[in-house]
Amino acid sequence: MVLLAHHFGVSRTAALYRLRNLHLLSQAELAVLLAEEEAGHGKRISGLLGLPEPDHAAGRGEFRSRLLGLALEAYRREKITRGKLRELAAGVGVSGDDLAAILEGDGLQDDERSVPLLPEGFE
Amino acid sequence: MAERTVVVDANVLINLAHLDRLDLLGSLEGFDFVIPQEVRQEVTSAEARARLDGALSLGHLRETGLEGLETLTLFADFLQIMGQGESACLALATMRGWYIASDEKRAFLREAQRHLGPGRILNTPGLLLLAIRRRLLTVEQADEAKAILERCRFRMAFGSFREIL
Repeated sequence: MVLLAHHFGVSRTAALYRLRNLHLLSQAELAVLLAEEEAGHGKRISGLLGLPEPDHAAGRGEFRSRLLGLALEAYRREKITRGKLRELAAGVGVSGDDLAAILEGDGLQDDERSVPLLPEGFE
Repeated sequence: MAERTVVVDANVLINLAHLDRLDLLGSLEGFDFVIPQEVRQEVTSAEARARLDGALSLGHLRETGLEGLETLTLFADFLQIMGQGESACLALATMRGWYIASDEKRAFLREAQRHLGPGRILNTPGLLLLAIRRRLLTVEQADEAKAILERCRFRMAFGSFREIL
């Protein structure tokens, strides 16, 4: 289990739940292994094998940049609105000001000059 | 004149709050401006929030809520591609036959025009233009507002309001 989690670059707990979802572990086996992980056995074995702990910070950074990249592409293709883009960006810690700077850098602001929109009868 | 109800998105509110001219919403006769809670939550800066609260207490605009299964279903559908405030505005306008005030373009404008039909969308430049025509603002005041908004990255496609009167 320790080697498997290391191979896929995920936490041992995540690997256990994934194996349970794939029905490769029974609920009872999952409970036993989670208890062992909780007791520190997984970490001890990992140390004995000389395996580094997974770099969660790097993983989060990779997820953040991938999500932001996909969201910007969806916005560029007009699949999502600016508001949705803002919410997705905020979810990975990108502020509205930073997002505006990114859009400006991408040239996505240039074509967005506003013309007056008025209701019918007031044009 | 029959009142037109206009549901206002956060970007227009923030622009008018930044100009400290939310009072314009209360001065434009023939319009009843409303905001859903989802929009109010998107106004996060302390200054804009205080100005919005003041405008609400003075009755320049009023709050409304998402009610009814059809409206909530539409809101949930819009959330797939829109933000919370945008989704709430478009769901309300679609179900109640209201107008929308929003500065969003691209996907939101396309969806709003598709659901509401032509001539049912206003934006910040449109509101300022209407205020000039109703003599609530001078051209000079509107141009000054335009310059302030441009410093906040909100740009208009003309040099002066005089060009489009």
